Amino acid sequence: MFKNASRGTVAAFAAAVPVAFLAVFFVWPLLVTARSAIDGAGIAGQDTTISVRALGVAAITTLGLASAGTGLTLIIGLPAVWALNRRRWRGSRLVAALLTAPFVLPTVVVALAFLTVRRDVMPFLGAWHGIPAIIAALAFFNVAVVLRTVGPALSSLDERLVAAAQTLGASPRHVTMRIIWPAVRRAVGGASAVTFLFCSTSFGLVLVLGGTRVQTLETAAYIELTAFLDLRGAAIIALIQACLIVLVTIVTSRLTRRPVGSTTQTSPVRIAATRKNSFGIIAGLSPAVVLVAVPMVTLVIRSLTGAHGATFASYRALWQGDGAGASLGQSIVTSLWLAVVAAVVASTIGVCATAAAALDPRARWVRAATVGPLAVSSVVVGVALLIGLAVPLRSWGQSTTVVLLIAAQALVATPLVVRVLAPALDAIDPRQYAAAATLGASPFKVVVHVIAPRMRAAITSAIGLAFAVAVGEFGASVFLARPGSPTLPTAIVRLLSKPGADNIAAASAGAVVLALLAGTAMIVADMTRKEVRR
Amino acid sequence: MTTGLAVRGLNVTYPGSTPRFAVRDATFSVPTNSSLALVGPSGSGKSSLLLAIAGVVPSTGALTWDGEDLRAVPTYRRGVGVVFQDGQLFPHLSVGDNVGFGLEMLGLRPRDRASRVQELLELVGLSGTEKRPVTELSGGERQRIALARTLAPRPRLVLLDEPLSSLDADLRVRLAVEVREVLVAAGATWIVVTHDRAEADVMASQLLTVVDGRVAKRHPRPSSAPLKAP
Repeated sequence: MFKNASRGTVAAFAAAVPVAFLAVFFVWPLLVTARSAIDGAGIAGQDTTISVRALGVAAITTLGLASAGTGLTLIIGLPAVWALNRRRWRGSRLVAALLTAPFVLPTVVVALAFLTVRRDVMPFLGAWHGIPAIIAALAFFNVAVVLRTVGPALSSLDERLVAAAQTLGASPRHVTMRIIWPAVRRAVGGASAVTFLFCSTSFGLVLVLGGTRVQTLETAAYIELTAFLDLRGAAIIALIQACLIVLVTIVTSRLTRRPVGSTTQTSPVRIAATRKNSFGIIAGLSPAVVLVAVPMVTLVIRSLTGAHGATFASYRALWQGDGAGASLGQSIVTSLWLAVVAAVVASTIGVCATAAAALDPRARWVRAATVGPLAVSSVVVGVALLIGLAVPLRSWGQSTTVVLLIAAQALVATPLVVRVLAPALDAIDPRQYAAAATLGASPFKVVVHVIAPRMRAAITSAIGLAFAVAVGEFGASVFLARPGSPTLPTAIVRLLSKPGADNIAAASAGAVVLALLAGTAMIVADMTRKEVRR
Repeated sequence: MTTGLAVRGLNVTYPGSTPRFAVRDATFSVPTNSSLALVGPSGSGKSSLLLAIAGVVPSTGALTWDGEDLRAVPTYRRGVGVVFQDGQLFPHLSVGDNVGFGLEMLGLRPRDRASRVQELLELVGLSGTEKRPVTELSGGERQRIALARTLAPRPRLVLLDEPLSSLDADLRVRLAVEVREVLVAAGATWIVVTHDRAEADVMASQLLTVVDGRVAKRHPRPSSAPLKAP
């Protein structure tokens, strides 16, 4: 596309944007946090109240909840994968879409949905400090991971291989163990690892459903900060959490590598379901459908129920100038504009990182580095921004908070933006650049007439995805948002800490609005992404 | 009672809201130790007919072997081996494990399996390839291994679904002769499906034409065919 020198220069300029952003808002705050954790530097006079024993309990709770969440996810998810992918049947795509939808919901929405189920429908979920509800909520989120990871592996298993095994005398059990399991075991391993990773970083769920009684590393960091104003303690916990997540990420990336000699094919033959298969399909799907449908339906019903029956009072209260509803209405506006700016920032960073990697292979590390914030969890990002930038710059006032909130949301959204943009850019055959150049197109015209039109849908999709992530972001925002101008997720959680049925109803209405905002953005992103694939 | 395979009024339908016949009222027989070629254009239903005999796709009508109703027997107990169009070798298994798969399903001990695998590999001219990954094989080698894998558990009937269509013309002619020799040496009864009349002449002693799902006509094997019938 460009001569080597100009290509390198453009790549360097493109790489400079994400490098500068990550250096200021991610690497520097992390280094300050690490230093604070080790010797208390930067937070002078601070001493930590956290004990080694408390740290150990928090680490064990984190791993225990993640293991239980992963286990339940697999128990419910794998039969659903089987039911959706072994046979073709009408409506399977719709059911799959409904079951994977929860993945895009903000954690606060899901947490509130399960809180409502616990209070109104299944009180037993509240036993043992709400741990059953936390585990169920973890499975709610991550069944989508199993469906999205194992589903393609199973559905791309060529039915002719199964037929070949059967004609060689393989019984259904043998077919499962010798043909189907080898085809999906990597995907199951990958899904388990990713689920474990997500379960280990489910701050919002644990905080809302477990309160202060269930302390994972993330909630312990939050409690150290909010209850004891212990910055160093939070820094230490954040550092441990970051190490744990990086370790899990490394294991995850190893498990998700595609094996040599896969049994899956790109154009598989699948056969239609018969009446005989119906029972198995229904039995396989029922637990997942109940897990996903009950909390969401309960949440919507709760938001529409008042002291005297069905009412829109909670929704009206969101926009009225009194009581709890006023802060929620204001926080919706705050969240909306913050998310729009964060989405634009994340997309700009993503475009620059992706373009730099495409232009110059030496800049590929920049693209890889954008995944960093995801690899350490949003809570770590929030704690690092608080200790590394918010505390030192507190004299700068409200504007610092706004900038840091946008940066936090953009940091969390950027890895997903890159995941959308990179394949779209990689899909453009480099010979098209050459063809355009031989037809007289300058480098600038190649970008305008060849690359930009091909990337337009991907960029639109990336912005939608980034908005959906940013508007529901809670893990980092909760450490940065000021009480006077909270984002919608932080306002919902603060409302939950106040007593009264009206507050629960208002929080439910806020959660439904949040789900609609994130869901709509995600649907738009998904639709444009399908356009990209076409 | 007919010995060997007897097909009477067999129907196969494509699934869907308005079922369409892939095979309609097929009637023919294949005596033990004989061979038959089903010839017809693409989409005529010959592969569906083959897969119905193997039990891979559901069918209606009568399907018997030595008088035993095959439709009541699940695919994995029918003793009907299939060589698929593109081999359908298991890519996660080695050559030896592919050829030995059916033997393992029969419950043969590893030592017995190994000697039978060796025997089959020798028969198809690929001795010493047991440890090779199947992903490294050429097209011709893959089809030879697919044939060896099918023959290993000694099926009573071998079905070959366009076994050579993915190969280039020269190799196809050579391999057609080789496959036939291997099947004769193994004492097999077989049905081969092909759209190539010349290939059918080489590979089987009897010919049936399949058009629009109907088995049309039995042709005598031309005298110019290069090999004897088993």
